[in-house]
Amino acid sequence: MKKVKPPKYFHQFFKWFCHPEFYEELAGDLEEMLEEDFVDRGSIYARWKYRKEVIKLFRLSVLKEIRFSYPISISLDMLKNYLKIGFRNLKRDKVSASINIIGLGLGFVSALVILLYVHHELQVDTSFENGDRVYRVINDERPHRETGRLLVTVGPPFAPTLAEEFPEVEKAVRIRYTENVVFKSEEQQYYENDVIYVDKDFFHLFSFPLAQGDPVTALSEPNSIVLTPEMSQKYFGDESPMGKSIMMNEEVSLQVTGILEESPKKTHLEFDFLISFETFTVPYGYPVTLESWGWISFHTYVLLNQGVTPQTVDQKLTDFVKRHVYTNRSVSATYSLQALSDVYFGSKEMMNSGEHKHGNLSYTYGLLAIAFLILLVAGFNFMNISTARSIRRAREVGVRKVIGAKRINLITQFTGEALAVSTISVLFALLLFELSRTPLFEYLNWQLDFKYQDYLILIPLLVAGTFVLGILSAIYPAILMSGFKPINVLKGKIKSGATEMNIRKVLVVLQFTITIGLIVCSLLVSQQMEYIRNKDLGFDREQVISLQMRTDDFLERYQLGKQLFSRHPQVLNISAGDVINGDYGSVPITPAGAEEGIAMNWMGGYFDYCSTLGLEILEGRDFSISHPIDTLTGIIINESAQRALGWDEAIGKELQVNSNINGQVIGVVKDFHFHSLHAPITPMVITVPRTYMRNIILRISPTNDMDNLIASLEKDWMQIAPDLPFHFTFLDEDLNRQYEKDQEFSRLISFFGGLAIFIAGLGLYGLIAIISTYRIKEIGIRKVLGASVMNIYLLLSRNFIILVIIANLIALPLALWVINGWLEQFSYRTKVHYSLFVIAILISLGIALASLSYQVIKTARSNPIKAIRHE
Amino acid sequence: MENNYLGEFQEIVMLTILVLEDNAYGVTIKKELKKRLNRDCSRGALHTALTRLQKKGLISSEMGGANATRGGRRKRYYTVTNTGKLSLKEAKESRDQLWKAIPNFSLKMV
Repeated sequence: MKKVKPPKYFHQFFKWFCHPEFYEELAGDLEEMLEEDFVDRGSIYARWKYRKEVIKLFRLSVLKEIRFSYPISISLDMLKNYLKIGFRNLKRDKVSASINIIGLGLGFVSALVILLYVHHELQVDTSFENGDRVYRVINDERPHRETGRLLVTVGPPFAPTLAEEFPEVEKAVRIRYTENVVFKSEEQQYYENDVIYVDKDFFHLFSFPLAQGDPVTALSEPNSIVLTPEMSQKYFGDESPMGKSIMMNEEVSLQVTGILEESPKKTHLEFDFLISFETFTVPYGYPVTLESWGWISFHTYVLLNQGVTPQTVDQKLTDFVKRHVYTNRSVSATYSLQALSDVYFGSKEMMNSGEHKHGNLSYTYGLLAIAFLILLVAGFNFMNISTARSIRRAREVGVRKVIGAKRINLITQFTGEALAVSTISVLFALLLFELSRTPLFEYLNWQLDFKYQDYLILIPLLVAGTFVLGILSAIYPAILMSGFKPINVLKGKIKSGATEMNIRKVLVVLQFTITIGLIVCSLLVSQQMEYIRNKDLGFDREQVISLQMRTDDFLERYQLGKQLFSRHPQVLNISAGDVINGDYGSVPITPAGAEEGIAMNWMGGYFDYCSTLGLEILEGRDFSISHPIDTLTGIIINESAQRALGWDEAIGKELQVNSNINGQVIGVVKDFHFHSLHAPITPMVITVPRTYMRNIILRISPTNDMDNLIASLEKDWMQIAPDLPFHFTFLDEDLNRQYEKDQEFSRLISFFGGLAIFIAGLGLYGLIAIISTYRIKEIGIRKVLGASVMNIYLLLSRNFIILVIIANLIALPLALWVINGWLEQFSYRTKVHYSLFVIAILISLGIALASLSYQVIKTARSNPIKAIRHE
Repeated sequence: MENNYLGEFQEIVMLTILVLEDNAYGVTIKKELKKRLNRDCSRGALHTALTRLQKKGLISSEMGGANATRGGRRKRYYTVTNTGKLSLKEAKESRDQLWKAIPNFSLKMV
């Protein structure tokens, strides 16, 4: 006869959970049934039935006892009792339970969101296959001269020569950022800014996966382009663009040779388009070639061979630059390799690093600290409410002890309850997070693409967090409660002890210290943001529109544009040139007779440039159509440049700009903030550019009808440049873009600060609810003896108000100290006004009173007879 | 008295044990319930009922001899104790009393 075997795992599972006393008979019965079912209905049915029976056997009457090693042995019955009592307690005090769960839940949600963000930030540039061997060449002029710069770029021949001469270097890749590129497919044309030229081995260093195309050859031919899927969709719709062509700047036809799997996200490189470096040509008017070592505008990345340390290359670089860069002069910069992992967070002060994305490590850690503080506030709520409620459970503790519970049993019980509550709040937090994720990220303006896999990273952290927070916040109340003397408790002698009160006070003070600290910080951060928005930048940032026009016959079209635009009464001034957006070249400026130049920033502008941007001219004049020679020799400098050159009188002095422009200073403008307010004002020269200009700049009068004006400008545009897209920006928007990270931080700190306040307020509400019930008799008697509602109100809230004031005294100097550190990264910062402290004190008192008042007034107004009879 | 209270299922199980005489163990009880009353119960549910009855002292059990058909495992045979029989009788009597007290016409189908 054929035999049937019981399903292995189910049998093992049964053997594991079954009480040994019953195992033999039950296993026997199961097997007998299995065999009978097998004979009657076949093996599939029989085995299915077996599984079903095993699952149904998983019940208390069959389970074996759970044993922990001594001294905590919990029998099943005790566990049942603990569960029952725990849930009864939760149910009995719904307010405290929900405050605990909501508070912890919100704390966990903030921690989740912040961890996700921090994780994302720390992941940047970590996913490339060879990433640990990739370095960027940087050079530091600062050790050599005072006005030196720290640059992340080198000349164009650097990479190929390095790869050729250094056996340690496996591959070297140049990256050239470019902007204001017009792309045109059959139907679509747009301006694009995230366009980079890269050498053919780009994917070797940065292994972005390609959805289509071959990473080895995609960028090796001239006129090849690789697109992100978004751009492929934008220009080619749903069709595959592979092999199709796309026009760049009406000049070059590029062939699509690859599509990325997804847009670059977790990397400092910022691009939508990759163009093969072979396509790159020197822009019109640049006095350089691709062999110019001095054209310091190329990000150069190298892939070192396995086992090579960057230090060995650093040492050899000194000799390398002596031979190539500084052939006939002394070496004036130290070259070294910067690890790829340092690029995202470590390029803040470096010149030309503005072309790629940046992280801010202090913001990242600041956020982590905020997450920790919020969890702390939520944990303190939990501790406070548990200790305050402990009196209610004093009898239970007494009875348990009399029956024979050891202290460790009680501690285990209370800690277990706390863990259960914190588990519930984690589940609540996950639900909340899942529901609020999209709007929250939108509000915080985060481009996080959250994937469900990310939960896998978060869940272990959450589990750990649940345990740590649960145990930490439970251990004190557990020790306290388990220490009750049974005799006293059962006689009803227990009162809230002095130490317990003190600890509670300390916790409330700490909570409010954190909260007030966060309030002050967020107030100051937003004050600084406000300061940035309103600071006099030395030019008038309102009402300036720039229109992008990328074309070789810019000047002819500009003349026509000037004619057309000036017919609008709202248009006050018209010029052309660079917009102020924090992104400028830096060139050597050599006064007549001097040997060595001084590095200064360089902007290009056309006639009426200063008056259009609203720069204040201190001496001399603006570029003017009445002096056509200005386009060749006119130079305007700022005050800092005048100081750097050591001139008392600047007008008429001769200067050489970037070795190709020789001219005279015709004007000095007042210092203006062309960099962001993070950086001090540096020397700057303005000339009429020798290259093509890219922007028409209009100053308009304040108007309520901006839409109409824009519409009529666009109508004019159709005559000026019907072949080019109409694309305009406002100057103040361009400027604000420099503060994106700061604004993000500002939003975050106010959001999480608000959350912390809410959680702390919630805790105070719960605390006062419990405390006022303990004092209900006292209040009743006081009222009978003639106390007014106001007296009672003051009596109950006085202590808390004092605590909040103490918290203010601790928090204000601390917060000031922290925030000053943050402010220091701005060269121009708001002054800390004392009114800020008044506001912080008022807000914290307001929150405290708001959370107290409802319960306190309710208690104070209650009928004293009921209170005194209450038992 | 709570101790003597017999659940309906427990009563049926005890009666089934009596029906099976000296062959009452898990599988046979389960099969008998299915055969006579067309009532399905899981082995787990039966186990709960049996342990409770045993705890109340209404049935007793002992392990039988080994048998090759069930992987060599022994069976636990159940018998109804005298207390058990008594409480079954009591249960029946109290029901009979109620039956007798019903006026005849009440049972006519309307």
